[in-house]
Amino acid sequence: MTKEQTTTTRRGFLDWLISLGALITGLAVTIPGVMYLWPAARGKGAKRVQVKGAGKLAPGQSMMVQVNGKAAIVVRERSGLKAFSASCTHLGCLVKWVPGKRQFHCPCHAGVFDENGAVVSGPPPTPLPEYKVKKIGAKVFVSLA
Amino acid sequence: MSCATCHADKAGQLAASVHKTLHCQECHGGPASYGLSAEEAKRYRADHHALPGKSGSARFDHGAGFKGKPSRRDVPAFCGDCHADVERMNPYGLHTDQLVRYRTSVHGKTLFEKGDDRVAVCTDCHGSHDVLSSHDSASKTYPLNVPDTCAHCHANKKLMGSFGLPSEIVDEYRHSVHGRLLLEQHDTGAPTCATCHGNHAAAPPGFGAVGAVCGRCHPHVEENYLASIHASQEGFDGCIQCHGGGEGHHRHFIQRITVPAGRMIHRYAELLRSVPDPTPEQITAAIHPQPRRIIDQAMSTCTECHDEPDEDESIPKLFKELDRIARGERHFVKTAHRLDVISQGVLLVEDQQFQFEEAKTHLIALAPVQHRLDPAAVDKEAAKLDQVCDEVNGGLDHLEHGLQWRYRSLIPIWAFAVIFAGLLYAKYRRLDREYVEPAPANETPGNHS
Repeated sequence: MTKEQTTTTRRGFLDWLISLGALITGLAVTIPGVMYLWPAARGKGAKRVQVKGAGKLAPGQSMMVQVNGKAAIVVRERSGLKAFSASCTHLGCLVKWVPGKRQFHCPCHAGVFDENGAVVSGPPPTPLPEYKVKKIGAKVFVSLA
Repeated sequence: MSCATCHADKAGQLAASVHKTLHCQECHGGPASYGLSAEEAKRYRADHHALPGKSGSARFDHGAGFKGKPSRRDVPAFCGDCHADVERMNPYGLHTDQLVRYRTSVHGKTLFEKGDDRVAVCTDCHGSHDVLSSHDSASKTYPLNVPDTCAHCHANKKLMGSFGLPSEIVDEYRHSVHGRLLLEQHDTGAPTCATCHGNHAAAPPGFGAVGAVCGRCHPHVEENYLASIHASQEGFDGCIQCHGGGEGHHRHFIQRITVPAGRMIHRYAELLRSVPDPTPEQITAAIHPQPRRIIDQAMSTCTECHDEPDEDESIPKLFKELDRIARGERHFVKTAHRLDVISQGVLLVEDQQFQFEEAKTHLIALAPVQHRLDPAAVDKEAAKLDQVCDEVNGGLDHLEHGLQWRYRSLIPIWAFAVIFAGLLYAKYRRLDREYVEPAPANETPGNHS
C-alpha cells in the first residue's frame, strides 16, 4: 500500500465522520422540531385531576368538575366526598344533585339515581359510574376508576 | 325419600330460582321427607299423576299440614305469606306492599271483588318454581321479556274478548317507538308495558290522563305542552292525540311524528331559498304537492282540527318552530363531528368536551319546546344550544389557530437550519479546494552527507 493511498483513505474517513456528524446534527434539529408539532400527543391528559374547592363543600353540597374531558359531580355526603360521572347513563344529559332527597336527577327523561349512583327510577339502564376520590393533605383529587 | 324423588323437575327449577334456599314444605306444608320403601317410591314415581277415579290408584298421602298447590284465587295470599311479611323480607331489602298494591290493581279487584280467577295472579308474571330476578335475562319480568309476559293474556283473543278488551295492544306496542327501542335495539331503558301501567298496581293513578304517565319520562314535553293552547282545548286528548295511533285501547301504537316532519322541514328550507316569507298556501304546496294527502300522512292529526292548512296561520308558525329546531340540531351535530375529528388528532380538547356535555342537555330540551307552540320559546331554547356550540367552536378555533401558528413558525426555524447547513457545506468545499497537499517529508540529513 502506497503513502498516497493511505492519506486518501484517512481523508475519506474524516469526510465520513463529518457526514455522520452532520446527520446527527440534522436529526437533533429535526426530531425535536417534529415533536414540537405534536406537543399534545404525549400523555393524553392527566389521569387524576385536582378538584379545587371540593374540600370546602358543606355536607349535601355538590360541584361539577372536569375529569379528562368528562363531566363529574363531586358530592359531600356524611360519609365524606364522593364523585360520580355526571352524564346520565340513558342519553348523556347532565344530572343534578338534589340535596333534600339525596338523589341525582336527570332533567331530560326524569331518571333518578340514589346517593350511591344506583338507579331509583326512570329509563337509565345502568348506575352512574363512580369515580375515585383521594384526599392528600388539603387537596382533593378525582380519578376515573 | 324427599319431594325431589317424585318432583325432580320442580326441584330442579327451584334450585335455579331466587327461592333456591327455600324448602318445599315452607310453601306447600307437609313433612320434609317421607318414610317410603324403595318399592313404594318406585310405584308412586311411575304413577305419581294418578288421581282417584282416573287410574284407580290411590293418591299419594303427603301427610298432615300439606297445603298442596294453591288455587289461582289463593295464589296472592300464598305468596303474600312471605312477601307481605316485613320481618321476613327485611333481610332481602324487598318491598312488602306488593299484595296491597295488587289488591288496588284491575287484576286484583277483578280477582277479589268479582271472584274471577282468569285475571293475572303472581305466578302468571313471575312463574311458580322458576321465579328469577328481574335482572336475569331469562326472567319473565326482565324488560325485554315483559311484552311477551303480558301478551300471554293480553294477546289472547278469546280471553280478552270475554272481558271486552282488544287483543292487539301488545302487537301495537311492539311496533311503537318504545317497542322498537326495547325489542329491536334492546334498550332496556325504554318503557315496557309495566312502565306506564304499573306492575303490581297495574294502571297507576291518573292513567286516565295519559299525559300524567308520559310526563314521568318526558318532563320537558309535559311542561311545554301544559303551557300551550292545546292543553286548554276541550276534548284534546293530551300526548296520544298526536302520538297515539287510533282510538281507545288502540292508542298503544305511539310514534314520533318528527321523522315525517323532518322531510317536510327539508322541503320548507328549500322553499325559503326562493320565497323568504311564504304564505300558508305556498308552504302546504311546497311540503307536499297534494296538500290533502298530508291528512293521511304526517299531519293527519293536525288536520283533524286545522282542516284548512292552506289558510291556517298556525301552520307556518309550526314550520318556523320546526325549522329553528332543525337548525339547532344541525349546529349540534356539526359541532359534535368537529370535536370528534379534532379529538382524534394532536390537540387536547378536554375543556371543549367538558363544555359540550352541557349541549346534550340543551339538545334534548329543545325539541320538546315545540309543544308550547310558541316560536319565541323555541328561539330562546335554541339560543342556549347555539351559545354552547359557539363557545365550543370558539375554543376549537383558538386551539387550531395555535397549531397553525406552530406550523408556520417552524418554517423560519427549518429554513435557518438548512441555510446554515448550506453555509457550512460551502465553507467546507472552499477549505477543501484551498487544501494544499503537504510536501513529502525531507530526506534525513544523513542522506546529504
